[in-house]
Amino acid sequence: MSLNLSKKHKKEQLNLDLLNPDLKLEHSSEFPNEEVIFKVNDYNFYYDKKEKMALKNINLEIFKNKVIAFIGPSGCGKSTLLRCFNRMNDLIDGCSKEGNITYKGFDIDALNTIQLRSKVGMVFQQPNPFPMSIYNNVAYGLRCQGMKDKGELNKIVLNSLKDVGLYEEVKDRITLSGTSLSGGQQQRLCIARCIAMSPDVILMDEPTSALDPLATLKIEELIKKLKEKYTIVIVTHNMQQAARISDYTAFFMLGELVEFSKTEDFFARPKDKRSEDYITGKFG
Amino acid sequence: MKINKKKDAELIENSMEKVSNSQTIEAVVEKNIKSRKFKDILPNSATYFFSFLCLIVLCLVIGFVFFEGSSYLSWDFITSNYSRSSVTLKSEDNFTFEGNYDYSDLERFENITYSEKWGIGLELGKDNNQNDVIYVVQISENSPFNTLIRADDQTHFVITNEFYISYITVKTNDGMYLTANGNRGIENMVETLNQGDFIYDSQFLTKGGGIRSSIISTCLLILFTLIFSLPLGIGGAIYLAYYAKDNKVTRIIRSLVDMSSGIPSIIFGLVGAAIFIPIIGSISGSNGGNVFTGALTLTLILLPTIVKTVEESIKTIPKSMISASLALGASHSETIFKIILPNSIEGILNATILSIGRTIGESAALVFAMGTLIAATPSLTSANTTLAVHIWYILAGETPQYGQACAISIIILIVVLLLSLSSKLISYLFKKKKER
Repeated sequence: MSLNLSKKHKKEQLNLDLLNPDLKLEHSSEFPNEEVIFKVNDYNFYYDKKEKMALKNINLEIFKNKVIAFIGPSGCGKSTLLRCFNRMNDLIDGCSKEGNITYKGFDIDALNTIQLRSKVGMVFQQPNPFPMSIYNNVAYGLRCQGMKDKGELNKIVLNSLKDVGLYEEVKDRITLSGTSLSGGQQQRLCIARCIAMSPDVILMDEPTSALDPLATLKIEELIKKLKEKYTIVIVTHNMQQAARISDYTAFFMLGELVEFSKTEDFFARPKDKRSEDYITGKFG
Repeated sequence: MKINKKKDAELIENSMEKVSNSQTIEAVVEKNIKSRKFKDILPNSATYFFSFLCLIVLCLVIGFVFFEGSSYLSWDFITSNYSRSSVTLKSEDNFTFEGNYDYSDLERFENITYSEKWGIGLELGKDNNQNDVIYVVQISENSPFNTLIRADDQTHFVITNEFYISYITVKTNDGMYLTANGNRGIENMVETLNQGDFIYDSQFLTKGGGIRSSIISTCLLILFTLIFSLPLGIGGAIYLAYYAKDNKVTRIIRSLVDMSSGIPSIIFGLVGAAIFIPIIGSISGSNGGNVFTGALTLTLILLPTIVKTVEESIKTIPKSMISASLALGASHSETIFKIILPNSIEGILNATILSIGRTIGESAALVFAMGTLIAATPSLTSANTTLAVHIWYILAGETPQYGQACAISIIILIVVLLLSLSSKLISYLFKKKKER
């Protein structure tokens, strides 16, 4: 693990405007009904000191309270873009970027990472609960933010566990280590940990690829339920999954955004030849 | 490896020939099995022989230390000071021997020799160098020995059984002076005492030769070394494992850390003597080495080990766990204190144990950096010795005291053994915890 601590970003600061509950979101020009929460503008992303270009000129909008699926063959940049939204890529040595991403109209590079990441949660490919009790796993983020009120903490933790359907399963062993749960439960614990922070957006990086079909089903149902409250961006290898759960689909290839449209349109009438080849299984 | 095609081809040809000579594999096995078995015996027996040799040498060393040292090892040895304290006693100036004192309160034992005239019981014992000495073990309530005064300040002093007799000079009523030395035997002592009527001069000594101050100094040194070295080492490890980019500077730091673990400790001792002693001296006004200079020097010696051990331990923490913490909006320091440190506690404990072991065993550097003066009362600002330097000191004298050195070695060996066992225990417990 090494960190990129260089100060090439704009000066980070806590953005007080973001805390304003009456903040108006702009509407998308292409889909006028949707409110834009993330906007990617002419975004290029490079690894290894500009030797490897991972994202090429991406323009994309993420809509509020919708599930947006990123699909595409391996190495197409979909996970890279996902990690750009909460600036997890900043931790990688030798990466650089051009263009910008705005969150509710504010450039994310100018936001404090702590503020950004507490509003933009992330669920990883491998379930990665901390080796501490189930309760402490969920309370971790809140405690880091400085919440000390035990009653409030209890309420949030239990509500989060109930929201992901884990409460009934683990209520007798809430002090047991989070790593003692099964894979699917661990992943739901990770989601609970995420929504305990009451984020706006949850980024999911292939959350079901390490799980069996039943656990996958549970997570998918959970995602459908969660989109009422949260915006979800999900990277998936599984096209059926994208078709089942997402409202919008973005198809990536070789670092380019090939197509972005409503999921039913994308799978029924793909506009691009490459999308059609991909969903009909000619490659990928 | 370069492949010799020609040779290979030849080999294949040869083997083909053999097969064609109707030599089946069974026949070949049958033919060679005896010689192969014999060839097998030689390296096997050599392996056994050398490993047994190693074991025997180790057993001999430990056996020698235990055999030589065990008779010296006693509670007294551990709890008494190295330096002897002495008292010089005499009878009060106006004392005259009155004859019939009542000594009926003395309980008589077989192995104690009594001076009926003075009412004291003497017993042959050993000092910490295993020399025969005479202890005053019993004094009657009515004995004139209770009224002896110090020669220097004329205060009353009653001999306890910590003291043994160095010499006693008595004066008889007819003006004769008789001296009995402690090393001339117990009968001579009693005889001389019985002739005299006035204790003119006498010297009593405590055992001495003990290691109490060295044990305390060692503990102090361990404490301060850990206080200095653990935060530094853990900090360095976190920097290298977490913050440092993989670039030239980091690589140089890493190789320096690796290299410095190979530097002979005497060089660190030199640094300690040349740099730390003046610095600490100018701060605290101390003169020469002390526990602090020793601890600082040992910190230099231990840092590479601590950094390496903790860094390895941090590296075993899954990256995904760190990412998860950061993705939840935790800052770097929160991630370090809540995720990295709790999960590398095994490495930190192991580093602590290694450090304690090294501190106990280090001698060369401390001879210069901490001093070789075996103090009567350990202090933070004056020279002290650890157990290892204590051994060095008593062996470097004109009459090397191997017995005592072995006794100290036993203590060191036992502590080191316990440390390595606890390190094993820690690994076992953490493994069990992970499996759960």
